[in-house]
Amino acid sequence: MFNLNQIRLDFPILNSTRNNQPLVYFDNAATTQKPKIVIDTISDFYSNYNSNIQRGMYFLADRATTEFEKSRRVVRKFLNAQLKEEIIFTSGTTQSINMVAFGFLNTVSSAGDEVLIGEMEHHANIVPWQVICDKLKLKIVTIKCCENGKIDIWDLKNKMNSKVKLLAVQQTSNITGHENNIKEICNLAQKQNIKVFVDGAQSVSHKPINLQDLNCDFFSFSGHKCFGPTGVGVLYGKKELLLKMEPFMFGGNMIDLVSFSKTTWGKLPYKFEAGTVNIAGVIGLGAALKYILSLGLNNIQKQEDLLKEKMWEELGAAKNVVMGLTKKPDSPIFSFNIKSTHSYDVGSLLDEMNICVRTGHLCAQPAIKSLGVSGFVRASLCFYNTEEEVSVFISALKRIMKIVNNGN
Amino acid sequence: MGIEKNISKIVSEFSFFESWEEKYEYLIELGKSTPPLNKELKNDLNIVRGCQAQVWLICEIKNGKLFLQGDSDAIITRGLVGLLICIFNNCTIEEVARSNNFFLEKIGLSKHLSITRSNGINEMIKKIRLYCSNYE
Repeated sequence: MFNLNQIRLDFPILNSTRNNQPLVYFDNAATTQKPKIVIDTISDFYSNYNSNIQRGMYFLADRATTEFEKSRRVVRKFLNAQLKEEIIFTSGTTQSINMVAFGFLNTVSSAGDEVLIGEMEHHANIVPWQVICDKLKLKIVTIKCCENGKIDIWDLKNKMNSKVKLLAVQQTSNITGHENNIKEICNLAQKQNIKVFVDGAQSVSHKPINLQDLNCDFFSFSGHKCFGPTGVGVLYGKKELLLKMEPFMFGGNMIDLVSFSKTTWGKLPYKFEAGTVNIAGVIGLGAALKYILSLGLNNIQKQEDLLKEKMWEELGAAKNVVMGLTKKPDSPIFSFNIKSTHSYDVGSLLDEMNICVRTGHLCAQPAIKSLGVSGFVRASLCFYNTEEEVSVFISALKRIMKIVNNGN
Repeated sequence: MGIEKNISKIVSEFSFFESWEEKYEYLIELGKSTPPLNKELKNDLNIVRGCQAQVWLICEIKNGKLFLQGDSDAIITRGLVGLLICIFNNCTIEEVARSNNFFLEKIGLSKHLSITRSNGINEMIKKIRLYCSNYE
């Protein structure tokens, strides 16, 4: 049963106030709030079984290792990946992308080859590819987006050829909330032997992910965008590709045998988990994903659909609001501007009313440019937001328009 | 002292405001009445780094006194530029170089503007002060 009032009590911060105004947190695409179970799980690790994993021959190390590996199984189940060794813990989406860029791309490409990137991508899914392509003398080709913010399949088909070795694309846009048809994209790419990297940072908290069905080659997400701690994330890769991929970082935990003449790498997934990883973070992420699964992603989607409808209708009807896109988003992410008002002004005034949104270029300057603006106000909602908060938000925008115009 | 007098004037104006809306309305009004910079002056040389919105400031010294012009693409930030013009314009370079940021506290702005924006105003003040101390 999805009891919103009860669920909101799971998130301590949602019940906070500032200047007697309740917190309205609409910046979930930047990071999500944490349920008590995640906070408690991390605290339990440090209070009761803090130790390093995998090597120690004592009880605490054994328990920490067990809990850590349990998280790997939870992630596998959450993504419906085939094997648990296909799940690699990283510091977040950015590290995951860098690992594939610097450890995999060189194994399948040579000078003159191409990498395709969607034009709506976040900086983290542009810059690592740019740097490695420059190094390997590969060419980056961008794929246009349609009016609805999704990859233009026609343009994609046009740009796929034997030189293209990899396509990097987001599942859901952090600007528009629109979702690409990953299954169709993977299907097309595979026919041409193009590997597909999917940035799932904005999708995992909103919808069920079935990697065996999507059939992408790589997938990544960040823990903090799905109710888990910061500093932890996941890279999924198909086993045969991970076997081919080279480690990007070297050191403890990822080795098999070390001598001064030669070192050999450990098995999957450990060869990619160099150093002492964020153990508390990984265990906390496991708790977050279990929490999502306990609520049920279908229930989450239903609640978010309600919020999405209300926001779309009321924001669209508000005078002087210019929406970033004219098509309704798939996830409750709304980028817009108020006519003749800078997004920073709107953000500052919303802050006075204890309403949190993101403003500016949203870490996607090329995408913002392609939409013909210098920035947006972005309200990104999730299942713990309420319809009442949407009403508060719309009234706040009207109040802002009054304040800005009063200063004539 | 010119700066102190200018600050007192602003502090007294702000003391009449009961709500945060009135403070912002005042700033916005100040922003709207601040003469805009010509397009060609909104260049990399005049830009103030470290502000979220784009801000341009031009300092000039005439007869030992500072003359400020500035602009921003955000209206509240533009209001802050206007505020700095009210405070520092026509003051001697020695006075500006030795001034401090306490007036933000006195006006009661530090608790209202988000941290990044107040960092922005600190960057603007730093630029103005540095210009004057280099000129001394």
